[in-house]
Amino acid sequence: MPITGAVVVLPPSPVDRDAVLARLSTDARVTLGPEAQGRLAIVVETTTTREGQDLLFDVQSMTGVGAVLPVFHDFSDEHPSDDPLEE
Amino acid sequence: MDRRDFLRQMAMTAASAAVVGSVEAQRAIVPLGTSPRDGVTWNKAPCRFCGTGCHVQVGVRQGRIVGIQADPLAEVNKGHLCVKGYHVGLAPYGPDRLTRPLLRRNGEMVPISWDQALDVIADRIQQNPAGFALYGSGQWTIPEGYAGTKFVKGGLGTNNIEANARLCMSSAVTGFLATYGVDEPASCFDDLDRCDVMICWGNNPAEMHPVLFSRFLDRRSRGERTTLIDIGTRRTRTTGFADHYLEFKPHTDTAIALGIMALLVREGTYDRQFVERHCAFRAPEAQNPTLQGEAIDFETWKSRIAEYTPERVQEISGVPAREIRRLAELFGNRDLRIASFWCMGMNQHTAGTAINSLVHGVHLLSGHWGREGDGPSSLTGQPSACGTVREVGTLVHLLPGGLSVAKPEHRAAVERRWNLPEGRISDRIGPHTMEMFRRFCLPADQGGDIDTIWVQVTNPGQTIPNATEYFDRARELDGKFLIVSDAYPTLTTRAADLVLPSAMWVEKNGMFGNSERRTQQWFKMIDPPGEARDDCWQIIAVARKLFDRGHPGMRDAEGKFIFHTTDASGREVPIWDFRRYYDVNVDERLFDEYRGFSTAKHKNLAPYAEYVRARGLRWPVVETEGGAWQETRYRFVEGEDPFVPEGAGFQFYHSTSEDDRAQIWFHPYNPPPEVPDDAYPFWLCTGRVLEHWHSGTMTMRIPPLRRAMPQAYVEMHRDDARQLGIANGDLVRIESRRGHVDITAWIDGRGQPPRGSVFVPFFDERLRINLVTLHEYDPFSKQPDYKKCAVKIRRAPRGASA
Repeated sequence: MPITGAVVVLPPSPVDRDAVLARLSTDARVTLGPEAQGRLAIVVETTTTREGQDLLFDVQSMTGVGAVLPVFHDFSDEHPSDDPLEE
Repeated sequence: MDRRDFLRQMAMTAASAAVVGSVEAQRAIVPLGTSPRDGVTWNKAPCRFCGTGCHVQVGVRQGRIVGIQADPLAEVNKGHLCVKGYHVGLAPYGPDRLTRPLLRRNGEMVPISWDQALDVIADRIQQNPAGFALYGSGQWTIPEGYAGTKFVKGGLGTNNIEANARLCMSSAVTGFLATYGVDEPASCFDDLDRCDVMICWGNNPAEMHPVLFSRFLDRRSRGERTTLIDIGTRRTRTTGFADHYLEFKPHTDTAIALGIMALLVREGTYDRQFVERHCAFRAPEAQNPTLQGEAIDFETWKSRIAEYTPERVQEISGVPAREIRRLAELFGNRDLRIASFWCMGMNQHTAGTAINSLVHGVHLLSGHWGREGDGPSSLTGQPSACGTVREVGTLVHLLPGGLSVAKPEHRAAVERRWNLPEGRISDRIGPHTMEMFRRFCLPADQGGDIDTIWVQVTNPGQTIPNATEYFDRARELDGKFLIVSDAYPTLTTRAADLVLPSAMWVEKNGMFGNSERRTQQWFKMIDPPGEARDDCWQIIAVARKLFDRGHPGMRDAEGKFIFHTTDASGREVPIWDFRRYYDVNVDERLFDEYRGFSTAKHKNLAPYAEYVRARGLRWPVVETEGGAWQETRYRFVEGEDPFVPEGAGFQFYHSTSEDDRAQIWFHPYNPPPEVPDDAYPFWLCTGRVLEHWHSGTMTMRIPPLRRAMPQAYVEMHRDDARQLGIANGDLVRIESRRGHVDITAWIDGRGQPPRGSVFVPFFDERLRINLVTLHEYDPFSKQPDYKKCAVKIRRAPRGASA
């Protein structure tokens, strides 16, 4: 179960910002941390790295999100060498 | 608390620290060393990928990397990483690492021993020393590049060493040299935190340098008023954040810069005082133009730029005249702080030197220079294009520390420092990258005098433009021999006669130098797999093999091995024996030797031990009276640069006019060498994507990144696609006069080119776009133009596959 810590640069628009916060706060895989100066700390815990990746890309693509900046990643359970190159 | 709770807490602490940004919070992050809770040892390293130079903390348990966290104490990334950076810990663990030397015999690659491999290389060198070349990259660590330079220039006595940085930033180099007389940015990333206006010139930092771009965006989130201007040839993710998007016809950015300067002069809004005190004017000579150019006076310069009126620039570039006026008004306002950033868009350009020089000129003319947030800066794509290639000098015309092969006194100085016999270093400048590969692809009797190339840490089989003529052709020729050191199989290793397995990143000690003059250090943390070994060791071992065979170049003036290394008691350590390589810190020895060259161009470096302590230091680094080592944020600026005397304000102390002035150039707009026509009606631009780094050798082996962007594509405009009967996802053929590739169409995708233009990323070795690109290069920098050539587009024939 990969664990990722990340910072979300929230939209400047209050409407967009609320939409992002609503999206994140209703997702059981996400734990919200402190928010300061338009930046929100989150921890994402997913079954697979791919699922976590999809979640972060999904948040990144929400209107007005400046960036999703991962800051911590534990992948001790991951073995890329088990992953075939061609899919 | 179990291990998962602990990891969860660490993840939240790291994210919270990055949000809150306080030093106390940052220091609360797991410190370097071993955590008693889970047995993970954390140590610092710069990220392996781009030229930003983010620091990460690497968590290792039982010899394996198990975690990555952004380093909160690193000034560059301030506790953040991009999607590539936080997966960097997976880069060594692809399923197909090269683990044994392989030699081609009867068409098959067969395993051989390291000693046999070293013999093969020594044989090739001794067979034809002048036909041997070493080709490295901006991913060489500083000690690796230094060892390569010493081996080739001091040992073999040729200058046949080049690096792939020729392909990515040599026009930035020539721009700096032409303007300031010395290479590398005078300013630094601190500009991102302070500028009022950020101008991206043909640059997409939202994808290519996301951590730097987020430093700028963060300020908006804090409510600061900033303006972003995107000057580009296609809409990108960066455009989505821009206040103004100026779309120009490919190659016409020179006209835009000229237009801004012409207006500043016409309106009288240029900074007369700064210009009169600190600048001079130059233009290319009419015959055989050089980087030195010819001095012209202000009136002559003014008369030459006068024709670039906003209307004329609009005609050339397609950018509305009102936008040119807007830019000129911004530059005419000295209450603002304006930072220009660029990368490959301005460098991979047959007028790369011209546009680099002109953008510096815009800043100098307007006086937007030398204050925090107020200046021009080039970005690099590789982690040590600056630290290794540009500073060490792993190019055919350079010697360490920015010294020049062409100057007898420089060659003599290097010979003295290396304790070599007089005349050992050749005065013959070797072939630059494009010329090196051209000659490698020609028969010996037709000028093909390069017969052996040893490639380290790069993948020219995928990245050389017009790859059929400049890479593949060599395979058809007898007598050509390609040696490749790499961590993974690539298009280059597949073409090789000899493959050497290399250690990568934290499998070895290393040092990088990033885009803001920041020199960084890390220690080996894990073992490389199988028989993979350090690139630096490989060079030293070949040198020793030649020494043992009696090659005179591998001895210094006293007969000692040129890489002679001793332990604390003065006894020689046989570092050519890999079992003994880590008995001493070879990086430290090589760096401290190299450091002696760094004062030549005021690029002073601190002792190795200082970099062990720091998260990088920006040169020049000088020792203060108290014994501390002080870095420099802004060069040539009084109060910042230790070499600028009190009262000077600014001093360009490497000025080509030898009067402490920077040069403001005139270069006319000239059309590109190939433009779309009836037969090939589209522009092709190539570049990178967020998820993959360069040729994808590492990132395509990191499952989350490969899944996020599994293959290359062609971006095209919806109306062009409709006209050609192409739908999203269709396979299309892109064909130039040099080659073709069949690739999937992405319409209204991440980037949006205008009508008549398409974009293809180059990371995917299965879709080799450099079969299509153009080999033409800038006359000064010799850097080829990957950003524009003429192609035709059609649906791919039946049976084609992407």
